Amino acid sequence: MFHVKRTLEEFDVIVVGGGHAGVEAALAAARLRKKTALVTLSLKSIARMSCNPSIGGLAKGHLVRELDALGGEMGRAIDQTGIQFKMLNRSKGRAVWSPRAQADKRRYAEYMQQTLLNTNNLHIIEGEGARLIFSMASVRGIYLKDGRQIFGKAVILTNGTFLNGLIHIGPIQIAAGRYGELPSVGLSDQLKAEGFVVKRLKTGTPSRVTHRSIDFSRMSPQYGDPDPEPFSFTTSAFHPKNIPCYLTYTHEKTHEIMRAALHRSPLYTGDIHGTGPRYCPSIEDKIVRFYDKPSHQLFLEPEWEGSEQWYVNGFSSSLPIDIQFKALRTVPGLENAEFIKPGYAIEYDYLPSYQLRHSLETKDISGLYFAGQINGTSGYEEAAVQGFMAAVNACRALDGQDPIIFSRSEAYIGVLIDDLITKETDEPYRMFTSLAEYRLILRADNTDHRLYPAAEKIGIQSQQMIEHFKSSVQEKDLIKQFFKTASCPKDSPLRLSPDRTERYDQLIKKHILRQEHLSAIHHTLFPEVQFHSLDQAFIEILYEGYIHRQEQMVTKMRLLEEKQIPEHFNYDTVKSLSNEGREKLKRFRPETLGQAGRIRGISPSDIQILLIYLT
Amino acid sequence: MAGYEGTIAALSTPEGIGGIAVVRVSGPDAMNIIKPCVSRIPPEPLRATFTSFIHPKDKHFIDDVVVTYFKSPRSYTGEDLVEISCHGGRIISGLILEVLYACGARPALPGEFSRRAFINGKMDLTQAEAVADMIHAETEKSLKAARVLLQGRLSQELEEIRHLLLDAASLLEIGLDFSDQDIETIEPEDIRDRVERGLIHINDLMTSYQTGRILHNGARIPIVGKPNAGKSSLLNAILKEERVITSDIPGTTRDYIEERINHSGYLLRLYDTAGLRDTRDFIELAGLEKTKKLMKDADLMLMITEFPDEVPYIAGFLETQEIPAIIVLNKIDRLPEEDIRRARSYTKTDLPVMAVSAQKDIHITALMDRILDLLKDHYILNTETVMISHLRHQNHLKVAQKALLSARHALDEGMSPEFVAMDIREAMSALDDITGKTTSPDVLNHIFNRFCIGK
Repeated sequence: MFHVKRTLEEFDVIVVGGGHAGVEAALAAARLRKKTALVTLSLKSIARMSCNPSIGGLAKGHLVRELDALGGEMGRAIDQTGIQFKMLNRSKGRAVWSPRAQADKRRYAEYMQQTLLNTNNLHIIEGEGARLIFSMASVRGIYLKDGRQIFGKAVILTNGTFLNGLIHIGPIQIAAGRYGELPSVGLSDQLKAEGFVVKRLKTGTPSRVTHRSIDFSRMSPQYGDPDPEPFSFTTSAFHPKNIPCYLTYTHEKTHEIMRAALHRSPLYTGDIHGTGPRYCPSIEDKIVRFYDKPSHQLFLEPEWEGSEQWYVNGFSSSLPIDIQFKALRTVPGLENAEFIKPGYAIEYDYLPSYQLRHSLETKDISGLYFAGQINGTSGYEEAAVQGFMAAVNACRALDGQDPIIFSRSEAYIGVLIDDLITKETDEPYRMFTSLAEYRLILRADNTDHRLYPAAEKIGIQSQQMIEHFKSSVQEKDLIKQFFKTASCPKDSPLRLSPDRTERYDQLIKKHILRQEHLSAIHHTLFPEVQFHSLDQAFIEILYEGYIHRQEQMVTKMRLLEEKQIPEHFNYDTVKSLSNEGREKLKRFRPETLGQAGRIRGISPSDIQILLIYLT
Repeated sequence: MAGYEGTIAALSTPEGIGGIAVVRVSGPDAMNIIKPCVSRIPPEPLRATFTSFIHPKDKHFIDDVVVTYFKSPRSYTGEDLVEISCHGGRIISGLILEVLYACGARPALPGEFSRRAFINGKMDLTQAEAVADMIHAETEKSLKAARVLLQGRLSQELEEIRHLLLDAASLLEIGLDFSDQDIETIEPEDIRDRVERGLIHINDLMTSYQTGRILHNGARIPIVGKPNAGKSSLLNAILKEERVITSDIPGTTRDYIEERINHSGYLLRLYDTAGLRDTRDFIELAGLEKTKKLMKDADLMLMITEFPDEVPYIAGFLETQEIPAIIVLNKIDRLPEEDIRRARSYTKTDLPVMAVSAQKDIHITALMDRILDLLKDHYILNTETVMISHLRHQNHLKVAQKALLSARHALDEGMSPEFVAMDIREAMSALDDITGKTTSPDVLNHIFNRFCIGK
């Protein structure tokens, strides 16, 4: 064991890393009145957006809304600092509407830093975590590189892309966690030595160009919604800016230049070993795999209000700098582009999450939690929800309480964590709505109705908001009751059914009473309730048949979801399991039969056998 | 796992007299159980070893046998398996089994060898069912149908449908999860087309259920007629000419008699409704509970009468029925030629009138050929195509069909893709239920392979 030289004070929870997972983790722990330390390389880099300047988006917007209902900070932060807000998929059904915002990166980070500094029980420690301190099978704290020791009862690792980070730009390789920031070395080697499986992933980011060098007249401006919705339930009087992004396209000439230099791309020279995300490929990947597509979209996005630095969304690349610049200058509006930073690919260590419990605690070392990119996810939103959940569960464990685990039918957060733990990902994991079986129930518009009991149990959301949520649910139920029993009179000013009186729910299901009528109904029939409650009643009636079917599916699955598998169950005693099934079960050690069924390679007959065995 | 564990043993050749009988022992202790019972232990797997089978206690000789050891997982069940070929006949194999049971094996439950093969991943569920069918196949035609199923043709067919649906699902999800991307517009027609094609496949399979059922379980043919019309004599006449598989023992509790015959390789199940309440009227007869049930489940009906003048009356009744039928005019040996011709002219061609004499064995063979022709025409009894013969399959297909109809409806209504996607997901999972495999609907994978994602 190490000789203890100088003992700093002991914390309840130590969060290592100040990215989006770390910030939510630190805030959640401190707000649960735990003495919390946030270890970060520098205060100024806290909550930095290292890639695109936006929050939310398809399925990610759902995550932010869920986090907000539970008492997380991300939704409030973007509402306060966003510069353009848009509801995506507005032409589709309500379940897939997702809010998205362009962020002011600087103000977002400043907002978070200020929030952290103003939070009680929260101590920010600048330094680099070098080595965890273990005692038996528990974590006890962390050594910093400068020799300091920080003791704590629980440690949450949120190192992002910093674990053995390696940047590739053409043939050049730089050890870094982000452009211009040193990586964190040693930690993952120590984890490996402790028996953890460590693997490599790859992601990338595009180049940044100067504002003054862009000819916007050759691009089309893209604005947000004129009457935007905030992310957070706590945000009132929402009148954000609406600063445009700009759309332009690559063309054959651009592709030609890159194609001629493919042999200098580390993706094709074999220098990059990690797997990159297929949903966010580099531009060279796109022109190789979809060689017959003559052009690709590029979005120019300001990194903050009045920013000199613009983000070239869609041009992520690890080609040599000269090629990136030459190719980009063929794009309309970027002919004279000046570059601030080139695009790059970054490889980093992650720990496949089957090594975690659903609480995000490691299966083998108690008190040690992982959240964010270290678990193989990508995205600020995915990181944030994990940070929050890891901290909540760490605090609950310290208080001897059961962890909060969302099922796949309760929250996207539940889908995300369950996917991480039961499915082996070989590319960075991103949230998609199609990953949620119960998508029609898990809407971005009902996170308060879905999650207020959990929010209350967790205890971070203010009691006032919880009461607000509860009353909205009650209002919704009353309105539904009204719609299902009352009829719309023939002479109603809405003129919905001029020929005969008809029940409201029938009018909704026949698409006669539509979304656009709601505000009139609100004013005439229910002026005293929240509009949100009316909206929810409307949606639930409109989609009643489908929602009912999904609820039935949930009930059907519950049997397996609730069937616990004992922690140290010996699968070798169950002779009739398939070999692949047995091997997977031993590796993943699922906590319930439901989880077991989602592991690839485990057949329904394996599940049937286990079900019989465990009964 | 009570009830399904341990090492099992059973006779795996048909009971009765034969040259050789094979006893199989399968399970973790197969070899341990065999060892004390043989004078020579097979030196290695897959080597047929000639040895004496002896009683392990008193060393009493039982038979000369050939023992072959199949080591797990390379055996039919995927477990350690020993095959003992002994001399035929019930007595010797019975003695051997008795010894094996005494040494720790237990009698196999019906289908348990196949069940173990399925559980150990040696075959998928449709293949396992086909093995069970093969064992139960009563005629060569149903044997052939079982073989087609075993070759995984049904699985293949299901895979084709699944692929169509995966395509449709991807096209739907593209519009939801990647709607902010620069992807060519997906036409609703592209999705509708795939749903439509999936439905056609499923409908074909569902139709084949009847065919499959007839081939596998036999065609159900009740003989309906008034008392003394000659129902029993007709049945007896048929039985005289055909290979009888089973014959009901008189005095059983049922109110009708069932006879199974093999006609040109097809299994036919004939029901004599004799013993039913005496009635003067066909329609009233058809209204009787027992007859009603038989007629409802019938694949073909034989309506028998001895009076030419009743033919148009029966024909009129049959026109309201959807099942193929033959009107059998009996006792023609007592009827003038003219009456028979008159009777024939009463009906249209698609409702044949066959003139026979059950008593005198006149035209019975022709009647049987006509029965078979009608069945073949109506049920397309082609053993080469994929068909399903299990109610379980039919039920899962029904679920899939319902989901796809709902998907089509949602598309027609212009509903948002997530609703259609839900129906398609349900249909895919119903198809997976047939093969017993979970093929996770890897829609995203499909999308990434086909579309340029990433702005």
